[in-house]
Amino acid sequence: MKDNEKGLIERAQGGDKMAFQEIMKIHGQKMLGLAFKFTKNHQDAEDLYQETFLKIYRNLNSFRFESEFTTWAYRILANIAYNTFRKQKNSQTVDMQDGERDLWETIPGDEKDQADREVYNEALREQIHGALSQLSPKQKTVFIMKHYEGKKIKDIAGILGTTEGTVKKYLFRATQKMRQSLVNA
Amino acid sequence: MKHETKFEEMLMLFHFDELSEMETKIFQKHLKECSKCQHELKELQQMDNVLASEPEEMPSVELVEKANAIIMKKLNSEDEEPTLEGFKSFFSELADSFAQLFAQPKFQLSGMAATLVVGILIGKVWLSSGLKNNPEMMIHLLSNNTELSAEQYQQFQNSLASSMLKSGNVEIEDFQMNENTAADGIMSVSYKLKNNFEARGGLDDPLVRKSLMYAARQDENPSTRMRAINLLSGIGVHGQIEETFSAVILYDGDESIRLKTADLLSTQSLSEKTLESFKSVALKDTCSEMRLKAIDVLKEHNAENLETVLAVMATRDRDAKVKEYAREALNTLNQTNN
Repeated sequence: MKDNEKGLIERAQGGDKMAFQEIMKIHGQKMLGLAFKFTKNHQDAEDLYQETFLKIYRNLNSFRFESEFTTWAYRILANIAYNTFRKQKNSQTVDMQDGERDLWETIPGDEKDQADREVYNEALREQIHGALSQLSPKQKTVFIMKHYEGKKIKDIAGILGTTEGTVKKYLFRATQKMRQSLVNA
Repeated sequence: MKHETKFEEMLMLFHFDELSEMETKIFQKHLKECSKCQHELKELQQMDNVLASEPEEMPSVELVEKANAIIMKKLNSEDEEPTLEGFKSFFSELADSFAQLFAQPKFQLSGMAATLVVGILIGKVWLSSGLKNNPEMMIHLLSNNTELSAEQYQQFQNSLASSMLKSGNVEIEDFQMNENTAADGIMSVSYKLKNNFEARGGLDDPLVRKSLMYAARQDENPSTRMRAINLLSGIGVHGQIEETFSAVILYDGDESIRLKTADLLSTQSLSEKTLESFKSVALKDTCSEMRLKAIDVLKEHNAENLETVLAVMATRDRDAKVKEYAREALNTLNQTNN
């Protein structure tokens, strides 16, 4: 951890809100991007991001510099995401209006022309979102951490406070379901 | 022949590069001979291709700044929220709780009954200017409503506890640290109010914080006050918690609690207001040890007008030891200033 960042965290731990604002500025884009990977929905990603930083601020004094700040923050984000999945299990979420969506930047990934690409991307997003929504909250959390974040099973177990065997079990079921939804659809 | 389950799991672990060197060798040997695994591995790779073709989305800097501004606004409004509010707030919050809780049709009957109780409560409040015992009526009504889920019941209790804390008509019977169940390194606290119901929440929950601050200042039992102070110190001594600790060092009747709280404050960076409290402690506290501690804290924090405080103590303190300590501190300060 850089000295500059350590100093900011220490100041924020002492109640300095400006220092906390600086911390959010440093990590904001990455954390909001991460939140989107979990939610696959812009509005939910922003809610998850806000809830995560509010929780980080309120619990900043329990951060003892024993891990990287980003690891600790990721842990909080992942746990809130998991709890949100549990609550949302039976409810539909609505994404934000087009004007707000413009604040998200899509990174171009293929050679298709613009109009084709947008149609294709939208269909793909829907397919992936649909496949992920078939998973249970635990399966979904584990799959996202493994596939999108490339976390090791051991680390996922640590973050979610469970055993490697349990993570393997959820990952196995999640992978089977995702494979069926995306490949055999 | 039935395909062995262990190879199905190994296939997934192989795909995610999670097998040990030895396991990889075993599986690769199996893979050469097993058409089922070869087919499934191909499908896993296809799944990866589909997922990888999804375009990555990144938030713009503008969006991050917007989200950060909302967070800062929420944090600032939390600090400004007063601990004790009047009856008006109590009723509006209680009404909100009911509106949320009984929004669903199946709870409408309970809602009507509860509204009746609120009506009785309003009458009692005006007549007796207190809520003691009345919340039990509400709790009793809701406890007997088997249609309420545990989550809804807890939500209601938390709202009621919050309202009662604001009205100042509640005593905290007990609270304790729970096991860390969320696995995110954050402790949670449950506490029991004397009106026979429990509220629960994490240390990040404003209701829990308010309850602890309330207990630290108001609880009649010294050990409860001390435990509340210890829990609060774990959250971080600043803002309203620092103000609570300031009140404790000034007004708590128990010397050991005042001393412990002064200790907890001494290691923090303190506001001018808290340093003023320490000046009062230095001049007025009945315990010599507290007055000595106050000198240390004021020296450590280079408090303004410290010379005046030390001069008064060096000439007027009732304890010769404190007088001497103040005199020495004053000499050192004068030497440093010269």
